[in-house]
Amino acid sequence: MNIGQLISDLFPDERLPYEWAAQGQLMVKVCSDCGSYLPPHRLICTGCHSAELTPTNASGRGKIHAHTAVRADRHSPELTRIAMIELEEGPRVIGRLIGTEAKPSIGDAVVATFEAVADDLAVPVFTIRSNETS
Amino acid sequence: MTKDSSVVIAGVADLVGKAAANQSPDALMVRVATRALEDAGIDLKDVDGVFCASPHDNMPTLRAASVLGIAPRYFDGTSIGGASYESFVTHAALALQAGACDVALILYSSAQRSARGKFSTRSAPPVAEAVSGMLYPVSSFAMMASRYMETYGSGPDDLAAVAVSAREWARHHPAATSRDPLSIEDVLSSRMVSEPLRKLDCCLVTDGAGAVVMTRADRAQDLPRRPVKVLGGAEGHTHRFISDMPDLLTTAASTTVPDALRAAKIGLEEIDVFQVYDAFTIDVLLILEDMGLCSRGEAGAFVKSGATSPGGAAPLNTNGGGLSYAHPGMNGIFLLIEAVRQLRQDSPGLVVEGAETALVHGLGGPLSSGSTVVLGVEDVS
Repeated sequence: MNIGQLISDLFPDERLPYEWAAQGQLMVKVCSDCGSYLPPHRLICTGCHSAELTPTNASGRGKIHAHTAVRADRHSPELTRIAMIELEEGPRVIGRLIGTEAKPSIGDAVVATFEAVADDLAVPVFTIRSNETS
Repeated sequence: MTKDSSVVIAGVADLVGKAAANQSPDALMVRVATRALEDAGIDLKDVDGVFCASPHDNMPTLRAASVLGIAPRYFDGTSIGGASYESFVTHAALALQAGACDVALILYSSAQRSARGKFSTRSAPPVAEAVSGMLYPVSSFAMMASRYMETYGSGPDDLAAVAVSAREWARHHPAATSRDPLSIEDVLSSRMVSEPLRKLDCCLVTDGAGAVVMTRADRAQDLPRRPVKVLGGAEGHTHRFISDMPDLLTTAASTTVPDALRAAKIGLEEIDVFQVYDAFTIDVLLILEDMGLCSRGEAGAFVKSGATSPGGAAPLNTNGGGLSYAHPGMNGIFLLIEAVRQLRQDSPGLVVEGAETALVHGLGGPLSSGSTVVLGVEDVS
């Protein structure tokens, strides 16, 4: 899978979080009516059903809510570790965990970083913040 | 749907595994429909309601009715994954009660295995899931399993016990795909697919077709088989993909099971046999807890105790389920067929003697939808 191409082919509204990521920003949305923070793909507030959502920059800090690992490819023992992250603002997002071979635990503190996949596009990924489990 | 014992399942049929191999989905559908109608003692020309979902055609009722050469006056192609079939029973019951149709034919056929996945349902997950490397759908269930295990301190053996229980039933079923003895160790030594789920935590990929015939009880009086009453049903869905799942440890069963039992006016303790969609072992643990058969975090111990196995207090997936019997893409119809056979006491596998009530729970997507049907052969209220 060519991730850069996949994201380039998206509609502009779907591509926006990856353009923010290319600027080093983890995009989430905030509800103009009730103030809830939402994952970047959300279009209606899950708290109050308002459609008035504004993109905003999250801190990038969060903790692991759930995780899994799959073979990076069929012929390699290398694992791709993937986690659902609960950001400190509240929303849950999914991304690859990098820089760790060890199996993580739920509650481990993580921080977002960004991997460029095209000139103006990047993907948020997460690293474990050592000594900071909650 | 409220209780109305005037709607019954009059006939069922399925074809799975070798009996279904290397045939087109249309040919399979004709064979299975013919058998179910023969089982019901009803002619094809009297079918005026068609209920169908399909991995092969996005206009499933058009396809099914056209293949069968009938022109129904009522139809429903609800597509909520495997749970569609439990919902079809509820929808058909409402249509029959309303007089919108007199004979409802519920159909499924898939050549998924023979086609080597070529026809598998195409549903693109959200970009963030796709670019993360998640495998769809197994990694979604794996995330639920990781959260389940760490929340409750469960081990991989709790998941594996579900596969072992299913196999204990399948070993006695002549049509089951997997019939060899299976131990917890066997499951734990199978290939890791998406941690913590291993190959034997995942459902089979098989060919298969199923059909269910429903009508009103007045019509069923002189039919060949003991009619199975539809006592109650309830359905719901909460999300499409795991990114939007409200709570990774709670499924639609938490509302649909109590609602269906309320509609049926019977209690969970009165259910004699359970058929629960087991796409992955974790599903059964979550749903057993959602329905209230065990406390949170205790489903693994419940299954390990033998409660769901042959001879146990809560016989579950009595043909071996999606893990050992068959799983041709959407398993919901096979749960219904097995429940009917248990209540008619004519399952080719093990029969739960004296079973008079059954609870069938289907799921669809990454535990996105849930649909429950309560069936019975006696007036139990």
